[in-house]
Amino acid sequence: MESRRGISPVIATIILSAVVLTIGSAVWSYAQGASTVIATGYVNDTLTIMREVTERFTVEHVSNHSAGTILYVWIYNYGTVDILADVYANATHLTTHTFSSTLGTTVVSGSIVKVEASFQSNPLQSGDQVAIKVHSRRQNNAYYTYYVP
Amino acid sequence: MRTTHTTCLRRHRGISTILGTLIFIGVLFTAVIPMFLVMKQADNIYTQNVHEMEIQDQDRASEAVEAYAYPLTETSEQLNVRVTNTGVVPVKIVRVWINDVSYSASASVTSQETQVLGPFTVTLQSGKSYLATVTTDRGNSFASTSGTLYFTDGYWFTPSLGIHILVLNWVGKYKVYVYNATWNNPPTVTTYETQGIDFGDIECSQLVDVEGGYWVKVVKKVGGSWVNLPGTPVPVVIVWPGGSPVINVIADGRDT
Repeated sequence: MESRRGISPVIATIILSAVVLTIGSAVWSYAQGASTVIATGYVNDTLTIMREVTERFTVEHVSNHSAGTILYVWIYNYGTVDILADVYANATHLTTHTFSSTLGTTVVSGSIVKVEASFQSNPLQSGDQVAIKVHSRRQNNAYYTYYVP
Repeated sequence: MRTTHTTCLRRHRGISTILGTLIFIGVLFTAVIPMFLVMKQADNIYTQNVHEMEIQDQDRASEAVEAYAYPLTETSEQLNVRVTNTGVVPVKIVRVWINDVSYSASASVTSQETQVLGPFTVTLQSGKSYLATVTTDRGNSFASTSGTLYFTDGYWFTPSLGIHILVLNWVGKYKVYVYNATWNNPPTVTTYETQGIDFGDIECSQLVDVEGGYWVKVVKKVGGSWVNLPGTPVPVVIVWPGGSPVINVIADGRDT
């Protein structure tokens, strides 16, 4: 009987506790890391959506170079976050369409920026209708229709 | 002997359970609950921002501004812009555009208040039109209600000066007199008389030649005699440049 006792109960308990502590620590550590990653991701996603819905900008003014080769578009950011905007302009002269774009203009919150769209190849003429779309990289848009004087 | 040994083992068996429970509670309070708190806080910030933007959009939609541009003199190269906030929310004018040139401004105009911005110097070119527009900090733009100003032959084009009269009426016959207030024994500048018994409101516009003070009198035929409408004669002052070229007068003839 004495020889069948094996490890003493105290040692068994110590070993069992050590195993529990080791596995528990690993689980604890993993849970903390996972929860941090999940929370950080969630917060970042929420902030991204928040910036998207709080973005505000408008096309405040439009004019053109006297030769019709450049279209000037003033973008006013009246929101609280900076924007990165792409400007697309589609000029219609009778049945002819001319397209121009200017990509990647940063407009800081509260500021106005003048963007130039080139129409060198087919200059704007008096009476042309120019459909202007300002597209932010957060998927918001502002539209303006300009008639060349 | 066996019995004693079993009892000893049972006494130590609960330690692992207690440790496991402590670890579980530790994970719960140091990882899971903080994670949910952070996520909840992010949701709150998002909701608060959306709510603020909704309010800002409502304020922007309810902005109403009347802008009126006028030259300082008939030959001046400087323009003033008179701004009246006709809405219910305060507005802040951040820019004034005259044609394609912008001028920075910083004028807070409370509801129903009027302010004069400027003067703004423009480059005069004969035969050229000038349109003034004001921009608010909420991104709204309001063009001058006087339309474009026209400069030609060294002078600003003068619009027609006049008085627009609206008589509230159910039924009746009326006469409208406009007198020049600066003349002695003033003769009538213009007279308007309705053709017969009119039903409904009556409108007429009387042109005048020069700026200055005028009296507007509206009379109604009651039982064979002409009776002044309440509030008339009413003084009217036309100032241009510097004010609207057309003045509105409203008279109520419904209870006379």
